Amino acid sequence: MGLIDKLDNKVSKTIGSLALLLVMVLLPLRVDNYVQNVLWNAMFYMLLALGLNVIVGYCGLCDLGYAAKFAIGAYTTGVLMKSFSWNFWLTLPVSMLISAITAAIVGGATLKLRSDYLAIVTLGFAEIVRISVRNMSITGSASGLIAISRPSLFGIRLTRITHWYYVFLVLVLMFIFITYRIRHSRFGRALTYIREDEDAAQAMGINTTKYKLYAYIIGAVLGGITGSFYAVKMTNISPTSFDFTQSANILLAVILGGMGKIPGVIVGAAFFAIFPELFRDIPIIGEMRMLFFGILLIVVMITRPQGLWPERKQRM
Amino acid sequence: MFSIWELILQQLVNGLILGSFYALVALGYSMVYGIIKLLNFAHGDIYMTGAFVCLSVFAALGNIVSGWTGIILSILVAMLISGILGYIVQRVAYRPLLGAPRLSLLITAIGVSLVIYNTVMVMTNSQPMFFTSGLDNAAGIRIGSILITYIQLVLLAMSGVFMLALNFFIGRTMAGKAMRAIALDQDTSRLMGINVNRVIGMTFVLGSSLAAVAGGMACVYYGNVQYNMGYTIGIKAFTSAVIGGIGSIPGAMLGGILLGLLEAMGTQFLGSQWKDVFAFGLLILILIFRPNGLLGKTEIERM
Amino acid sequence: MKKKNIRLIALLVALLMSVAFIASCSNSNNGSQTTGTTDADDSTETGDILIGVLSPTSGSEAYYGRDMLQSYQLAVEEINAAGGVLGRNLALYHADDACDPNTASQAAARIVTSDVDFVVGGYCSGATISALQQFYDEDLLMLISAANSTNITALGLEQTFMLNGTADHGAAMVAQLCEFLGSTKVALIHQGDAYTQNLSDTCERVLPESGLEIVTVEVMEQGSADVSAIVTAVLYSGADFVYWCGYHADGSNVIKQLRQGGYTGEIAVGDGSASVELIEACGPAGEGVYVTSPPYVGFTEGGEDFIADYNEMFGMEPGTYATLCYDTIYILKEAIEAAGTLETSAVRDAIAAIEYDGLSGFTKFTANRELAISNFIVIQIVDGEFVLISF
Repeated sequence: MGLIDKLDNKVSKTIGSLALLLVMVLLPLRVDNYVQNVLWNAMFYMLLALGLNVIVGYCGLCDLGYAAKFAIGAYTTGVLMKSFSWNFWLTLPVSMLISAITAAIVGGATLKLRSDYLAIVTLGFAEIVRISVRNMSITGSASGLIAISRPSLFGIRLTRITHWYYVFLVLVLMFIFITYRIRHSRFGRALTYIREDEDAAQAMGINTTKYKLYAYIIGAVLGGITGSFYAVKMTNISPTSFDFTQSANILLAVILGGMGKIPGVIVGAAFFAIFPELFRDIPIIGEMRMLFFGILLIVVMITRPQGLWPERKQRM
Repeated sequence: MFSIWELILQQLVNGLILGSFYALVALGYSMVYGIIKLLNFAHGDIYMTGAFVCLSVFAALGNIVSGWTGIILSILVAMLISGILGYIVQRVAYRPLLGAPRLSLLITAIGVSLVIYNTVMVMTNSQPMFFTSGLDNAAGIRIGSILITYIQLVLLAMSGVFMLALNFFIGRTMAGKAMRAIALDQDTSRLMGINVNRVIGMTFVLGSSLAAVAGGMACVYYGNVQYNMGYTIGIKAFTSAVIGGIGSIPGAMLGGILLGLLEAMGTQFLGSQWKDVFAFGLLILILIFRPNGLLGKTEIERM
Repeated sequence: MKKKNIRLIALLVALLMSVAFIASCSNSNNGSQTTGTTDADDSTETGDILIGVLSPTSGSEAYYGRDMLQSYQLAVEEINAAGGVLGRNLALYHADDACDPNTASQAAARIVTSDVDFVVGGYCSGATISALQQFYDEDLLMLISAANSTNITALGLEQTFMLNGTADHGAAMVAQLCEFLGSTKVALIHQGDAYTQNLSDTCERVLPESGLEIVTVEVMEQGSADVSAIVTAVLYSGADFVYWCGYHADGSNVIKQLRQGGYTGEIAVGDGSASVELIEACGPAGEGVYVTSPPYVGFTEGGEDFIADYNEMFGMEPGTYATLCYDTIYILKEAIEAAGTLETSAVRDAIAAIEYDGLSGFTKFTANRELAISNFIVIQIVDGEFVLISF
């Protein structure tokens, strides 16, 4: 019985995921640009949330400055393409590298702090990044970088929203795969121990500082990749897109859905991106949509404190 | 017209005033954090609400009382209303989640912040409102070319009095003792017969009314009241609380004043565009070398 | 079992939400149309001419976004009452960009999918730039009424026109004003966002050409009430002319604290602060402050009628960009009539050649599709009212 139940669960899960994927793949044939754009925005937040999930969900570190990681990727790509005329695909490894290095420096110095202090350090670092790109001329000051050229893939120049829809869909699948593998590796299990009880993890011989640093770097690199793609999709980036509100939004998507659990994070990000758009065309209420969003946040968290789709507690 | 020493002194005065605002708001952060380990994102918005209440009450009193009597009355009413608001927020949004993961509580706090911020934004049509006290803003004591206005002196005195009163309350009264006990161990405090929920509620009322004092003072001193005025000061006050050692009351005061001074000096000597980079950079350095803040106690973390 | 149920419900709700969303959008023609009615097939020769409006009606800039929308509505009503354009009525389709690049991208997609014929609007430069690419991709013509960052020109999109004077016009006005007042040492204060920094940078580049010295450039973060440290820095720099490049909400704070700190030189503010609210906000400290302003409705020919009509229709005073927005629609009307068709390239050529004398002054475009002749004016606060200054 137990086995059949398990098998059944697994089969239905697989069928469900495949059906959802099929719908996502076929959807652009049926819906207009606007819907694709909204869904693109949802996928964009999914990428950010999946990246942050490695830091917050897997490892339990409180990061209030994820916008900085994604800004570093976006600006690396933007500057290399604008000032040095690089090809987009060549900027990707560089932006991953720079994301990893900055994360290693910041994380190396601060990850031993208590989690709330880490929160303020990440917030402070994000502000430093935002203000620096705003003040420097190579990053285009407050106006940011404009007219970043669109890349080509398999000979197609990616200009239509449908192109970007599929690019981001592939990215989401890749991010899911990567973070899923991390979650179910030895490394991922070690992170869970650290999250649940750091002292015990240390006592079991896990080098907690090292593992936390790795998680932090992986999260930053994923954010950097997302930032690079964001820069070429939008073709313009400016410091206002990387402020504290953005960091809070991404964190919100992770926790709203249920920290740690990949489907939860995806639901959270989709919810965050789609909900305000539902209200767009309703007069008066449309202008107050963030107010309703706030009320909804409170209600959801009170009724489901673990998030919409929380992780099941694993027995160890 | 300025000698370099006068310049530095004047910037010290500027920093001190700014810092005392940070300190008052930081106290609320620190108290709430100390007792339920929550970063209360809505605190900046309560500060903003306090400023609006102060402005409206002063305008309503209008012909009856004006000048300093009117201002003090308005600030008192603002304290009362913000205190009630703080209590309601705590009761509705935070109490049901006290046993939940701490990050969930953080999200509710963001939710509360969104609700207050957007409500005020819609109510004021996202336009600023202006406060005219009828007092002479420029009158004050001149030492060389340094100017300290009477309003600044009153503000400094007021924030000093409130901080000392709070310190006394927490250090010397039964209720303060209960707060400290809950901060140490909630469950044991409950076993000892402390009404935990009531004390937590009281903490919110206290913290919120202090934010309202700062809001009311900002309303009088700057004359501009706007729905987004709580955002920057919220982040800065949070930073101050951490610099000083979050959970520590004297730490919050020290952190606030220090951050104010840093910003004033940063503005003068590094340029206003880099002042926040300077302040946040120093914050990170302080935390690397003093991981519990300047006055925080070393403690082992239990999540 | 219970846990499973809850998860199932959550999933169902999420699914329902997505379905509702897709369903509500697939029929995008009955969105927030604000004036006139539209047939389902407005591509036919007899339907309304649909104009997309991009402006922020939520968030921090909602006040200006609504003012813009209302000014467009006023012009559209007038034109429809007078027989429309090419025998067809005008209708507006508004989308809110919330002054945020990401939201603007959705709003632009919303406008594009609504089969609009033209687009007007654009308040925040950052949000406008984010939307422009999509309009360009769909070969849509956009008349930008308020946003005036030189970065929009830098994009080089050939069917985008800017009706508001650019930062270059503003800076030229400042140079003239300094000469008029005999000031030599200028302090610039901006707010670290795209528009105000653009204005400050332009002044920093242009003013030294007129022999003026820039003694300091300061940044006041939006919403940070305390500027005392900046005031002291300005006093120490020895400036005799302070130019505030930011918005009126924070501008009053700067002016008041400058005066309170003992600054006695001249103060001027840019078009972001050109609002009657500034007078009330500054109180006595505002006396004598100069404003380099877009064509302010109180000082334009025919302005009284416009104010009266606007007041009657919306029960409030028109804002800073009202005249520009009102003219935008009329310029579009003239161009369509000159072209005799709705085709983008024909209308674009007609606009490029247009010479229109409207409420906001004389409008003609350069080869860069910017406003050719500056329509900036200088006004001063005297006895609590704006007074036009000529020199």
